[in-house]
Amino acid sequence: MNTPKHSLRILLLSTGLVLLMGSCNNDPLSPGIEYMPDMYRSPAIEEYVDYGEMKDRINDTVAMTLSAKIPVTGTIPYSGDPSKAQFNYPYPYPNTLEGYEAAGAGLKNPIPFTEDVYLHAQVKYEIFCIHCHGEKGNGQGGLVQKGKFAAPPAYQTIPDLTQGKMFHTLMYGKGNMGSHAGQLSREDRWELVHYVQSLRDEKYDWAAVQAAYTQVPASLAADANQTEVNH
Amino acid sequence: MNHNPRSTSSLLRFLSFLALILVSMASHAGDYANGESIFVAKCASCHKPTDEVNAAPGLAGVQERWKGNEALLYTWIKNPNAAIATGNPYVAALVGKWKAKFGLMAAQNVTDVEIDDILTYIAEYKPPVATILEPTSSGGVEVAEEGMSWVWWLVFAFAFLAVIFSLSGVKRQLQVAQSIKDGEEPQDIGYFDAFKSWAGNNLALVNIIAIFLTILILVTAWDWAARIGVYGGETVENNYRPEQPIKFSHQLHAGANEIECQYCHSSAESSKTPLIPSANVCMNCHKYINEGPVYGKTEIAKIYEAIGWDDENKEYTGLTKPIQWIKVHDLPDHVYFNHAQHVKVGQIECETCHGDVKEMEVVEQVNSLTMGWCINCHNETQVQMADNGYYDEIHARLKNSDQGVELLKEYLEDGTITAKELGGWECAKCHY
Repeated sequence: MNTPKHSLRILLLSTGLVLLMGSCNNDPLSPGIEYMPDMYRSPAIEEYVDYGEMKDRINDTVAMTLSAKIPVTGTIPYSGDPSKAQFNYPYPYPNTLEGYEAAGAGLKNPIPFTEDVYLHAQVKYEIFCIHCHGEKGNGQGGLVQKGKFAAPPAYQTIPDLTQGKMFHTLMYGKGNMGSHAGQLSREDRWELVHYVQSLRDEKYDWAAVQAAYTQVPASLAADANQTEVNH
Repeated sequence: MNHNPRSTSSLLRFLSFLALILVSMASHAGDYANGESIFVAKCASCHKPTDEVNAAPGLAGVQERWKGNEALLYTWIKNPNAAIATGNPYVAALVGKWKAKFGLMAAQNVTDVEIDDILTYIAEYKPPVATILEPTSSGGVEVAEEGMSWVWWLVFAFAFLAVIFSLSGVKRQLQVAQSIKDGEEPQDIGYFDAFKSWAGNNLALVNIIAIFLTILILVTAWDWAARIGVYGGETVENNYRPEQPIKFSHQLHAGANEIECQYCHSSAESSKTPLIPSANVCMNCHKYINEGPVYGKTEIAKIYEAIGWDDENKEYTGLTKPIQWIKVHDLPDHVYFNHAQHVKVGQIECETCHGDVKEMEVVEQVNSLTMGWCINCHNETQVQMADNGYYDEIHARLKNSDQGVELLKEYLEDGTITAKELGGWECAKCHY
C-alpha cells in the first residue's frame, strides 16, 4: 500500500540518512569507507602490511612479524647480472678499528672512474652526503651551517684517507656518521668513493691510486660470514 | 762567601709560583669566541663541550682531569702518539678506557694559542638558548572546529522544529477553544494529520519541495558513492591526514633542513616501493641530535625506544620494536604502481603526486589517487625520451618496422609522445 503518507515518510527518512552519509567523509584522521576491503588487503604479501592485523582477521601469532624483515644471515642478493656479482659477495672486514685499518689497506675500487660514474655519483652525493659534508667536501653542509649537526672533518684535511677506509665508513659509519649501507648499494658506494677522491684531489688519478693497493688479506676474508650480518 | 741555600730555594719557590700563576693565567686567557669557532670546526665532529659522551669523551672539566700534566695535554692534542710515547700513566689510562670504542684521535693541526682558546671555550661553555617552537596547527584542532559547526546546525534545526511544533500546537489549542466557544464538537487532530491537511491545501509547494528533496538525495548519494575509497584531492573536504606514532615533521626535515626526499626514501629510484626508512636511517642524524626544536626530547626518544638506543651510555641495547607508521598513500592491491618507473624512467618529481610535502607538518594525501587521476596524467604527460636509455629499445623497434613507423607518425602528429601513446592507457599495464 503506497499512500502519499508512506512516500512522504520514506522521502524524509532517506533525506536524513543520505545527508548523514554525506557528512561522514570529513574526518582527516580516518581513511574513510572501504568497499570490498579485500581489494586493499589481499592475501598477497605487500610491503609494510601487518598480516596479523588484517581487517576482521586478527591473528596474534603473525602480528608484527610479516613485514620489513631483515634478510637471513649470509643471504647474498641476486642481481641477474654476472658482472655485478662482485658487489654482492660478503664483506670481509669486521666493524672494528682493525677492520677499518685493514679495509683501508686492502680494499680496491672495482669500478673504473669514468665521466658517467662521476655524474652519477654527483647525483648521489647531493642526496646522501651534501647536507653535512658540503658541496666541496669541506664539512660545511647546510645542516652544519644551520648549527644542527657537528661539522665533519673536511675530506681534504683527513690524512691517509684511502678508498678502502671511505668504503668501510660508508658500510659501518664512523664517529657521528651512521652506516649508509642500507640506503646505498655497494656499486653506489664505490662510485661515491671515486667522487670523494676527486673532491680531495683535483688531479685524482684512479689508475695510479689503484696500482698502489694490495689484495684482501685472507685471514680477514675467512670470517666474512660472521661479519656480514645486516648489510 | 755568603751563600745562603735557603734564599735560593725561596727564589725557586717564588719562580715556580710565578710560573704556576702564568700557566693558570695562560689557560684562562684564551678567547671564547675564537675557541668556539675552532672547536666547532675541528673538535665537534666527535667531542661535545659538555660531559656528554658523543663519538669521543665529553670535554667538560678536561683541565681539572689533566691537572699536573698541562704541558702533556697540549702534546696530546697536537700529536696523540707522541703523548702515548711518554709513558704517562694518565694518558695510558685514557687510551685504555676509550681507544677500543672510538679509536685514537687524529693529530690536530692547532697552535698552543688556539688550544688555549679551545680550553677557554670548554671551561666557560654556555649552552645555546634552546628555542622551543610552538607546534603548528595540526589536524585535531580543525576537526573539533568543524564538528562544532555541524553540531550548531543540528541545534538550530531542532530549535526551528520546536518553534514550528509549539506554534502549531498553540494554533490547534486555539482552534479547539474556538470550537468549544462556538458550541461545536472539538476536533483535536494529531501533528501528522495537521501537516497532511496543510500539505493537501498547498499541493504545489509540497510537490516542489518533494522534487527538490529527491534531487538532493540523488546528488548527495552520488557524491558520497564517488568518494568511497578517495581520501584526498579536490572532491574531499579534508585530505586524509592520520596522526603518526612519531610526530615526524616533513616541514622541518625536508623543508627547513633541506634533506632530499631520497635520503630517507632511498629506493624510490630503484624499487617498486620508495621505502619507509627504518630507524637506523633516523639514527644517522639522531645519534647526535637528541633534542628537537618543537617537541624537545619526547619524539626523538620514541626512535630510541624503537631501535633500542641507550642515549645515556650511547650504545645499542639490542631491544628493538617496530614503529607502526600509518600508511597515507594507499593504492588497492589490484593496482600495480611502481615508484622506480615513475621516478627514474618518467623523471617525475615527488611533488607531482605527493604535493608540497616540504610544507607539511603532518603528511596528507593531496591528490585523489583515483584511476581517473592516473589516466588523466598518463594522457597529458610527455615521455622524457632525451638521454633516457629506457626508451632506446622501444624507439628502435618502432623505427625498424613499417607498422612502427606508421605508429610513430601517428604519435608525433601533435609533436609529442605521451605516456598514453606508449601504452599508458592499457588495462594490463596496471591491472594484472
